[in-house]
Amino acid sequence: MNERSSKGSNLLRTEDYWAIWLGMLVIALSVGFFWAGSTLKPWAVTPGTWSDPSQLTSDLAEHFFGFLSVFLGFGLVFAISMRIMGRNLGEFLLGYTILFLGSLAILYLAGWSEMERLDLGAPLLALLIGLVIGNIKAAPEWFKTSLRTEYYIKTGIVLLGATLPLTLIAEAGPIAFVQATIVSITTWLVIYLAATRIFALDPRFGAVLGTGGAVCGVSGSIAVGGAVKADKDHIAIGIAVVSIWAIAMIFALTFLTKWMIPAGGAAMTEWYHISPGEAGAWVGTSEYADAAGFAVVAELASDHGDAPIHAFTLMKVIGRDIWIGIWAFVLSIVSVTFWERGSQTGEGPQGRVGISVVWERFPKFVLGFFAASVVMSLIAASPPDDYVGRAPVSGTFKSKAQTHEYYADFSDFQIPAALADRFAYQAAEDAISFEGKMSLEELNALAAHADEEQTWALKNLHAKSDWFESELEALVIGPIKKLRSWAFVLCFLCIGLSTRFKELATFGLKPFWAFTIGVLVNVPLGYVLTTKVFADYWRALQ
Amino acid sequence: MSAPRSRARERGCERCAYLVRDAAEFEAALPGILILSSGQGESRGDQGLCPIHQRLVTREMTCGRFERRAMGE
Repeated sequence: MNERSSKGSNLLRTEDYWAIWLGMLVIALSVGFFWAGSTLKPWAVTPGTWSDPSQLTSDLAEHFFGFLSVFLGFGLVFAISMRIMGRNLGEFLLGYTILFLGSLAILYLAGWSEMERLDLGAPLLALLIGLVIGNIKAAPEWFKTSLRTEYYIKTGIVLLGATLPLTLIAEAGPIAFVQATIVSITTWLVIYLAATRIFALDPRFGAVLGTGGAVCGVSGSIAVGGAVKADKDHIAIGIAVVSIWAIAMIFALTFLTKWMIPAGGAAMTEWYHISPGEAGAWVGTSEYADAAGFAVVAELASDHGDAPIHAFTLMKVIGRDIWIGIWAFVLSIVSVTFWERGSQTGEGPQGRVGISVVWERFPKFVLGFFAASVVMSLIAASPPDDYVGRAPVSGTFKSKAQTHEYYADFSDFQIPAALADRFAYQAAEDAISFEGKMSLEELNALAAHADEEQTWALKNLHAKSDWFESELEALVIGPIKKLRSWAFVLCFLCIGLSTRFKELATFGLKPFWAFTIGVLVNVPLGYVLTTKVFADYWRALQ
Repeated sequence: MSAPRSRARERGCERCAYLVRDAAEFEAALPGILILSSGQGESRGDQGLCPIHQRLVTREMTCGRFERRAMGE
């Protein structure tokens, strides 16, 4: 039907597969460097924080080649793929360069102490700045070649797979599926019934709107639109309504969840408090597009770690997105059996999609997400048997909660007999070491004989003895997270730049209100399921 | 594949000259699609726009206005 299927395999012809190839290339490079005794860290960087211009310029100078490598590395794969997908290479490269520089400026702006004071992170800033620019002046046609929101977010999601342990998917996945199914079916029915029974819209139009709200946003509307032979104008209206609500919900859910999550990891003492995991799961049920939802949870992640991102991904991507083919198949049968009987299609298109649509519409980038999770989980599950953690006797202890400089002396330290074969003080290297992963009990046993400075050094050694945290997380997963941040910011900037409210708001009020009724049911239902029914699962999620 | 299905496929939208298949043209025909989606993703799959009936259709569909696309087009 399209250029892809008529010319053979989609493996090089859709952005889903290219997102997989790019994501897996990044992961392979990061793991390869690590196994070779190095790390991708110097080449996978994001701007640091600053409060005066001199700090900014020195950070820029320090990371210049890192930024250049991210620009060239991503740019090369994006450019090759866009060319193969039939796009104008010159237009893409020029547009991508502007987008990258814009993203760099936004990341620096987000790192400014004043922005931190305003609690505005890079995701929201990228979206806001993009919206302002995009609504003042429309993007020229050539620039639109580089506005690939979906491609960038899919790449980010594949990279995200490397940071999401398979065990987490196995544990929380079934809950996410149950919750997402309840929400998806309810939301679809509400929008469909409101559209057809209250506003007397065409049933196929109702199905397009319902799927946009219930499953995977604009992509859901399009996937189902073809299956039910939807009117082109109805698809266009569906796109507009879903986009407007998705963007509105970015701001609503961001500000709401930021207010509801206790600051600084404090206890949940107020009735309205929710955990970061619950926030992510709620966004996963009540946002209408992956890219829009990631804008919310990436913004939350800057203050609350990756729990919101993980919960959102489980709920939205695994719970809702991957079932789009089944929705298309079922609704195609319903359309042929019921809806088209009541309408005079005349010589219009006839027939319905086959069962193969379940696989054909499957968002293939999710396979990359799973593959990345499997690869990293396997590596994480195989720490070297002879791993020895080392910490300097004088240095800096860093944890998520604190940073402390210490100056210890271990020359007369009394090693507990039970740990004598695993703990060592290497005077020549001014370091202490521990064989294998140190448990908390072992840390306490060592600290029982230590003074305050020695205790800080032992805490540092405790952290360093964890191979996953000190090696894999720091040297492999860390750089992948940085590159994921780039993909996300590129995406959020694209959302803003490609949104023209004036051009979107050309539809009648009936579809808008039908969708809005669905929102009014979806948001509280998502909240109740997340924070009351399945709260234990989402609170435990890290 | 049965004979009727094979015949239907021969005259399916997939081979129709009218169909808008190209991803860039598909995106241009649906303003706003780039905000949160695209014409080159798997969720669009094999769908195209029929400019005769102004509908989104898939490769399995057929109609009386079918015009075979020239080879290589």
